[in-house]
Amino acid sequence: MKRRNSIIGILILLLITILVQRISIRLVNADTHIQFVDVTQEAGIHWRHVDGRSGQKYFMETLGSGAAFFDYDADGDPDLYFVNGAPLPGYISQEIPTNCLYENNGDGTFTDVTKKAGVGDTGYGHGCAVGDYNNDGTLDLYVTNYGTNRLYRNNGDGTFTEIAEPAGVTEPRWSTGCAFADYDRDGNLDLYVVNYIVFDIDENPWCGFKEKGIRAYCEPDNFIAQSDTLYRNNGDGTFTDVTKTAGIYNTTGKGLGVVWSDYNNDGTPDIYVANDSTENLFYHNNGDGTFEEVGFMIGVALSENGVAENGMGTAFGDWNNDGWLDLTVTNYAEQTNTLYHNDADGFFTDATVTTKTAQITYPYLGWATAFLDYDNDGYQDLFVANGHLHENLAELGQEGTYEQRNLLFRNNNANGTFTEVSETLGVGMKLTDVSRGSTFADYDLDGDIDMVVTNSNTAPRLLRNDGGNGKNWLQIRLTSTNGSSDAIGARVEVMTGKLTQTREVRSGDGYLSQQDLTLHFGIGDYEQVESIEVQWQSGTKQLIESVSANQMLFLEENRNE
Amino acid sequence: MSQKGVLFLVFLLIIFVSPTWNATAQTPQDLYARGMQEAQRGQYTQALRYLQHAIQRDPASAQAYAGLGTVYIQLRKFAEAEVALKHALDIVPGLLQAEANLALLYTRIERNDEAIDIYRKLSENHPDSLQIQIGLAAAYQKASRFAEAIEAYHRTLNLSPKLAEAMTNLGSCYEAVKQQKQAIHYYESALVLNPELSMANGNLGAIYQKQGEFDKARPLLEKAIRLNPNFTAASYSLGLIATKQREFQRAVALYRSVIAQQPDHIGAYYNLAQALFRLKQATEGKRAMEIYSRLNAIAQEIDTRERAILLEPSNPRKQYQLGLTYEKHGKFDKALEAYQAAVRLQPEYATAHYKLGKLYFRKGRFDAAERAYLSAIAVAPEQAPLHAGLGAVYYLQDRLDEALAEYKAALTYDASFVHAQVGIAVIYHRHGEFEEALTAYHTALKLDAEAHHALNGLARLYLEGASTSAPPTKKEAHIQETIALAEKAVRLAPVPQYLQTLALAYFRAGAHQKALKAIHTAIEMEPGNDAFRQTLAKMKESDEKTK
Repeated sequence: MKRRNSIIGILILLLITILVQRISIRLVNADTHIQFVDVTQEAGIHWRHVDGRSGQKYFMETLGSGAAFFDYDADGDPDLYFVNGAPLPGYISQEIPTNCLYENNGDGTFTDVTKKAGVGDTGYGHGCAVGDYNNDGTLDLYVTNYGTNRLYRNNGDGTFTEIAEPAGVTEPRWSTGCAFADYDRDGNLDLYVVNYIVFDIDENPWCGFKEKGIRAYCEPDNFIAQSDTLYRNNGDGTFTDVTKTAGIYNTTGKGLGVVWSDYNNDGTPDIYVANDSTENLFYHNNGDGTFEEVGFMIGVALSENGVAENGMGTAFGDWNNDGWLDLTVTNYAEQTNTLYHNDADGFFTDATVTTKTAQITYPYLGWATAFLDYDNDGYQDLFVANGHLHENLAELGQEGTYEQRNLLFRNNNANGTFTEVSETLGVGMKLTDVSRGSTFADYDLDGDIDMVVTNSNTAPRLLRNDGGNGKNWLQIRLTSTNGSSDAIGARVEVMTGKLTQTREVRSGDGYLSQQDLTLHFGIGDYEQVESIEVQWQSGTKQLIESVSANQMLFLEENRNE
Repeated sequence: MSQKGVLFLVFLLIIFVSPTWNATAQTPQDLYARGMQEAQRGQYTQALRYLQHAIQRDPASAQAYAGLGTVYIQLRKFAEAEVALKHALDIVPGLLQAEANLALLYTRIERNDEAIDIYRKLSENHPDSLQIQIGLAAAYQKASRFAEAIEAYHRTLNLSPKLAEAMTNLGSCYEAVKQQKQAIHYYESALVLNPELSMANGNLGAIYQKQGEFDKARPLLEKAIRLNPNFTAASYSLGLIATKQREFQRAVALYRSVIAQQPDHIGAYYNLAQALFRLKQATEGKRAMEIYSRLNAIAQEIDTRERAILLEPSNPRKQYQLGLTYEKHGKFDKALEAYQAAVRLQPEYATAHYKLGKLYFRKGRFDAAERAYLSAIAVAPEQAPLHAGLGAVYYLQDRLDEALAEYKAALTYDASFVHAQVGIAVIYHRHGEFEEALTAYHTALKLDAEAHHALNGLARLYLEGASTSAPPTKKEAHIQETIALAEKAVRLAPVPQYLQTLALAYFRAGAHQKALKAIHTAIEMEPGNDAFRQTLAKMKESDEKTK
């Protein structure tokens, strides 16, 4: 009898094993048809990032630069802009590196139109943001530099004019992240510029192991922080620095990433700044033209243990589809990236551990980050670009590698956790690079989100999403008629069955980069969207019902009902 | 955030030898045996008495000195313990009990390298000694030499496979080297053997908390706290879970318990503030936030100094600066380590030796303080503070002539060095040379009218002198002056010894209520000081007699 029981036991065990194997095979299969393919060269993108290094370890070499997907020529497909570094003392090269604009040819390839467009800045560049600052219906471009920043006004004919000085937004200090938003809801896009540290290129400190003669990049702690700058748009093509009067002035932050978002659903955009080695800052918009810094109080300034980490990139996204935008910030190696849950009561809870995104990020040095629904299942996934800043880690006695793979966390839908799946998503997601910025768009208009990742001192990667459109989707391009045409700050809710997804049109995001302004929604197996509700930045609401899936929807404020 | 301390329960077994006690005889051997039996019963004061008696009878008894050192360890009188154990080893080099306990002592007081040296030698001679293997493992662990600690714990477990405490410590070491699976394995194994181990429960719970496995973590942490209510790391981890699960009241209570145990716990203050804000207790939240900010600023300052050393490990100046930073924030043991590192790197670093001397003096390690001051003086013989510091060391060892010589040397190099002047006055005073003492105190007060030790010393001198030959009216004037001096000393430095002087002065002037109040305050400040209690008793006795 005993023997029989044990045989039955073995049979049950075998059955369970077979079931488990089947389940695991199915789980793997669920993603294997989605592949990110590196198509950089075949798409005609030959631009390379140059950090200007000469062995003198200038601190700006570490930051890399961002990129922007934006439809500069309004032809319906997203074009691509790259920000570049510049030669530093001791750097030898015949070529002068420039920023670069690629026009999307609509056939999967791009053409370099930098010279024609006049956006080939040669400053030591870092970040960029896009917005229609002068309400003329075309997208303008702001670029941050170590040195004077640039504002490129779109002339509407394929060319730009650089007008930072007359517009009053040159900001000569070391700027990094930047983003447009209409914080005072006057119909004109204002501009937030993050400033990093005080650094004199003629007084480059020697950091590293002096006794062994091993030089390393310095740390943020070696330098003094600078206050960020908030420019209010005067509505006449110029801006006014309102940093102090608006309550933004703060000399503690060594800022890199910035993102505007309406975290408390009160209709006004708030600001989150990721700071490198100092407390992250969260400026709550009081709705009267002023802000209050509340980062510590609401739980987004520090690590779970109250330690200031090395914040790099940041993004807002509603990963649990509850209508409240959650927040993420990337950090240095041996710190986890942080994922905050918006508790809908003005506070955030650090959900890094509970979402299972903590341990895997620990060895990586994170930069760009973004919420995107790469598999169109209706839940936003999470991307992180990684890469160390020391190429001589072993010499410095540190663990890890200079080149690192990027991470893509698939949202496990309703259970509140993520699973890192980049290994299953094709060669493009397995590459190891020294990544920094990233931007996202459906550049080939096939219904799934593609990505560009910038890499330090080398070529970027255009990673085409092949197979991500296995499920249904909807893309929405908003055009505002009150104020800035780009609809930056507008909020869209898409309802399909039990799913309600919320997105904002946003300028400046992730790390030094700009995502396409077209909103992308995966809707899973639903073939129709029940309703779309748009809350425009002017405050007006617009409802569209019964919209077919798998299309690009162009919505203009107060039309299309 | 898990408890990284080492479980000492296991190897404390080493310290007591159990000789047979002969109830009738009083030979040194019997006294020693009785002492050790008292120690085993936890009666350490009694044990001390027997052991000291044994030594009186046989000053060459290495065993008795070793026993004495062992008992001093239990009484946390580490400086005395070291002296006694070293004395035992002077008498009988290689005496196992003395060597093993000296190593244990060094582990306790964070002199891990010295502990490791002794344990390694012992381990070579006694490879099968469980206690020595555990001691060595623990010393490695405390020195953050985790790879070696892991090896040593494995050797321990080979000798005794069911030692749950060793498994727990091994789990901690694996955790420190980020081998979570191994850590979990050993914590779980330890708990199978002994489910009541608070550290294994707490550390395992903390790992699960970090992994977001709250259902697994919670019962382990609850149990760890139940077993050891002072287990701060477990309380903190449980607090984090409570915060995540929106049990903010519970979280506040847990963070407060952490802070009660560890008042500089930055994470607890941060999370306490967060939880209070959630409970809409903004004022208290802001208070916690302010304390957090203050602690965080200190941590950052220290962190900056520590990282500077990582980059320039051979720069003695960086070590010295780290020492100053630690000292500024009251982390004296760490400061001591930094200054030691500075003088290792630069043996002629007089200021670092001086700082070492001051810290050893503060810890009561007078032999080490003397060596440090002498090293400093060898490099910078004309520095008055060095001689004055050495003078103070000699003074507290009752080496008054040497102390006087050092104070005088200090004055040779700096005639205005008030500490030396006071030191001289105090020595004259102790020698009963009142006139010389009087002159010296006055000279000190001319140099610095607010030299509180001089004010107190002079007041004492007056109290002692006033009881003798002065006529009544002069006595009256004298006592008022004495009270003024003592009051000023207390105002400048409200230490209990000055309050005792003031109490005596009041009492002498007939202000008995004031006197009682002052002596009671002194007793409150230093309840263990018998001299204050005796003063109080005498005052009461005198009052009774008058009645």
